[in-house]
Amino acid sequence: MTLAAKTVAEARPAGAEQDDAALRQAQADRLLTAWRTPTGWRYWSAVNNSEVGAWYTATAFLFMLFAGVLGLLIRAQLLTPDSDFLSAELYNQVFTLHGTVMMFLFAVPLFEAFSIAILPEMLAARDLPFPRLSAFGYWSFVIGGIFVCGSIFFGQAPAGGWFMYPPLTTDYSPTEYGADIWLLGLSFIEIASIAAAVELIVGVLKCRPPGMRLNLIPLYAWYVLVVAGMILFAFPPLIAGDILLEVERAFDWPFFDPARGGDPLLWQHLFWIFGHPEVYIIFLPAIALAAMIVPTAAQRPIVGYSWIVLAAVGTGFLSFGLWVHHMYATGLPGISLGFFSAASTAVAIPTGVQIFAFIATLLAGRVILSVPMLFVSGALAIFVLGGLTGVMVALAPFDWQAHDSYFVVAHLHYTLLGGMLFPVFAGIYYYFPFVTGKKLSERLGRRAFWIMFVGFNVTYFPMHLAGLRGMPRRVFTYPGDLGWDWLNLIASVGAFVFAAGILIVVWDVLRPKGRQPWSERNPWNAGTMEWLQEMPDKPWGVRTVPLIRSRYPLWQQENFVRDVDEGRFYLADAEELKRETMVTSVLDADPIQCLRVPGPTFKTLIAAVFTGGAFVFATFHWYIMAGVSGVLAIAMILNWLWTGTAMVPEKPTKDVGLGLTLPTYGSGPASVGWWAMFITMLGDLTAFGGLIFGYVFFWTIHPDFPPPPYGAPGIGWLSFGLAALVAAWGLTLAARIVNGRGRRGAMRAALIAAAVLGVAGGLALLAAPWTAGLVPTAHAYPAIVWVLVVWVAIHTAVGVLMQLYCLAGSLAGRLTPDYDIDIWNVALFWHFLLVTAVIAYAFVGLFPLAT
Amino acid sequence: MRETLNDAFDAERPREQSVWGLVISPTVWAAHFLFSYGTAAVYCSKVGGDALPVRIAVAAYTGAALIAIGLTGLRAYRTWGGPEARIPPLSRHTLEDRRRFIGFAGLLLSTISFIATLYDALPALIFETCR
Repeated sequence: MTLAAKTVAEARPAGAEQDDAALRQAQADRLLTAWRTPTGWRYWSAVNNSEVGAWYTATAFLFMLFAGVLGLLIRAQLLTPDSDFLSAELYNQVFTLHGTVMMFLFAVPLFEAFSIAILPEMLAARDLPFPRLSAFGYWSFVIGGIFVCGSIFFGQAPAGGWFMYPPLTTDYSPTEYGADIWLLGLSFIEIASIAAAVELIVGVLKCRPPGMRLNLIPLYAWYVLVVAGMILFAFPPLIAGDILLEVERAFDWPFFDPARGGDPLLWQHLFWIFGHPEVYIIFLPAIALAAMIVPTAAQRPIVGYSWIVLAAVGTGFLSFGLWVHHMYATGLPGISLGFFSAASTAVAIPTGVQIFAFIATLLAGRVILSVPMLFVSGALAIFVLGGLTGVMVALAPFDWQAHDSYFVVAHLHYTLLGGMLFPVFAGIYYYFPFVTGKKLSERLGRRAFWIMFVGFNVTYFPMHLAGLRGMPRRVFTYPGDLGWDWLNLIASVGAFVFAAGILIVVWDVLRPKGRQPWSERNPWNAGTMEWLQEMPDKPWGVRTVPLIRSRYPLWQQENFVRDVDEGRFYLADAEELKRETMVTSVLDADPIQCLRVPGPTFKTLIAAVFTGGAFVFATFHWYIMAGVSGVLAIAMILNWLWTGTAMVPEKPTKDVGLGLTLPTYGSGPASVGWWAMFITMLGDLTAFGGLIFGYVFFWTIHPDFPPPPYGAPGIGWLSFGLAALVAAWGLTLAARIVNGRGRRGAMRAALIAAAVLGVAGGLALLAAPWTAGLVPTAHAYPAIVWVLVVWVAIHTAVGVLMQLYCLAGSLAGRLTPDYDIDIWNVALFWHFLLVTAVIAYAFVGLFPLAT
Repeated sequence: MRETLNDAFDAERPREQSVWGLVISPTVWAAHFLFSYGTAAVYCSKVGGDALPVRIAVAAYTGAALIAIGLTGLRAYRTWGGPEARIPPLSRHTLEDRRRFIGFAGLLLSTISFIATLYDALPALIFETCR
């Protein structure tokens, strides 16, 4: 047992030394000073998780309401046969944007938004490890979201359906910029999503309170871990697809053009490798909310904790084996379809396990049917129906009948609204006092639920029947004599009823609550730590980082709230007036480090504006302005890193209370930044894997490879490039090692040599297809070779920039043998770069020799 | 400075269990799935016709995967200690409960991976050609 673990195991809440009320007040004042929220216009420079989380959540809801209005426009158009309420053109934009906004600007980001808001409090952490990264993600999300939503007001919204199949989005693209807005605007947001996922994974694994072993963490945190992990592996293939499609649109590289060796099916693969896990990325967090609400409603611990962990992890994995069930009708071999059909039915098992665990918890407790619980019950009913039709369409023969019909529309709305929207509304009622300190109205809540529940079923149930009667999805109008008219009429009426229910909730949220008293503390009598907070909330996250001995400390640990309020645990003070939280170990949450987190800044906002500029200008092919904006973004991010990360602390260790002294600095695997780099690069490698998938895909569809008359790129240049990159990698690693031994001069020399070799290696790789005369616009093969080579070259450029950053840090004295976070992280980046380069070499260079 | 910190905080980190143990079985399932799908996709696009080689390959993958998952599950079962050792909820704050929890969760994940691998082997039993 380590010393820290032993200290924690034997620790008890502080006794007499915390009895002095004046002392406690002085501590609290110092904490409040450190964590004070900026006021006035500087309020928007806040980076604290409670502000950013609240903005993020509110913004996602605004996008949801916008997409909801688009949904109502769809239903208004389909109210009667042969309607001319919307033109076909506009209808295409409306339904595409409806799906796109609901998926990318509401369903996925809402989870991250909300987790940023509640996860730290749930783990009794003061903040997440990278608050500024959350803020950067939020501002990116706002800019990208407004850009995508705003396009429809200029008649330039994407119009090819939310999954953007080529050739509808290439050759026959109905709006000039729509597809570009989708591809670039959403890529930008996807990057922000991955940033949030990194933040949340590190948060769950490394920022738990002492004593919160893996078997004690709140179920919500398990789901966060699983879902963030899924985002990390699901979004990158889509980013790879986005790159290919945007490059085809902007520069005419024919990845999806069959006339020049491409194939539109490649897009479908890359999209759905993302798209199906995404359904579970949306669904699991909502179930996580239910996993918090159900035990509170039943007033007892969850039944089957381990089983729910099984379900979350199991679903997370299995959901990656389902993507082809969106492609049953594309003519793939039956045996291939069989694999996906089997996985699609298997995923129902863990999904069912969670629902049974909830039912068991409710049966075993004395249920209080509060508004949140009401919404959860409704969600379960709706979701089970959607799940059953899901098993139906998982079977290929049935799917061939229902494919692209309203049956699928009904199915997906039952799963997504039952699996996400209703639990989220439960979450709104449950967590509203947590966020604002005021409760929502019980009376309005019940009314809203029943109107929404009835409205939902009246809207979507008839769509099953319309689909079985042959109504295809996405038609903008239909003749009156096919028996679809009255089903659509009912559905449209239901949609407006449903919307009325949502409006009631919107009113309940927005109505002035100035005269309403503050909610009592822990209003639902819950057992988890987010309910420690006072009403109204204090900005410090938690008064003191507590010792955890149970799954539901508020129910199961004696005097827990009092001890926290009186600062009887760790970090009860902020002597240096710095923002601090605790880093602990993965398995047992043994304390490792007292982590200083940065405070308010506008740098993240400015960096997001410039990053957004790079994407937005590129949409309109204004590449010079995009380039300038990109350079400014990089400069701003470097400034942010230089002034706010890997800071040398004023003392190496700090007494955090209860007899525990912790280091204030950690590098390598002991630092949260190293973990963030590791996780980010896993996602990056996955995106590269998506591109490699494209390369292999082209191999399978071309009888000869490389397809004649194209030759392989020069193996000489490739070999030289790889050798240079291997040497650059070795020197980077050497720089880290010699720096640790105190030899700063050798470290600097190694970094300079590594940077030179890196540049040479990157250029040599680019020379290979260039000297072989491969023209990327001629055929999909040279195009995919170029993409792989450029990918490695861009990563090399980033790697060289990092080496130079470390060199500057060493010269400026902020990177020393003792304080060496940056060089550890850069060496880690180069490990991944090396793997990427070797894989690229194997496929681009060696593979053609072997075939 | 680093040495003193290491002495104090990193000294003997017990290495007997890792959170990665939880994901071995699902990863084996994923590998089985990818290999089966990849073999079928490549064989059917490059050769086509009778799918017997694919079916043999899938049978081999399935055998290997089931053995790997079975062994992982068995190890997880031993870590858990079996139903009489201690039934869930495994919610005490002891090292023992944390270990047994990971064992039990690993056993459950091995079970679902085993079932899912069997499911994914079925198409190779049924389909005889690449059509």
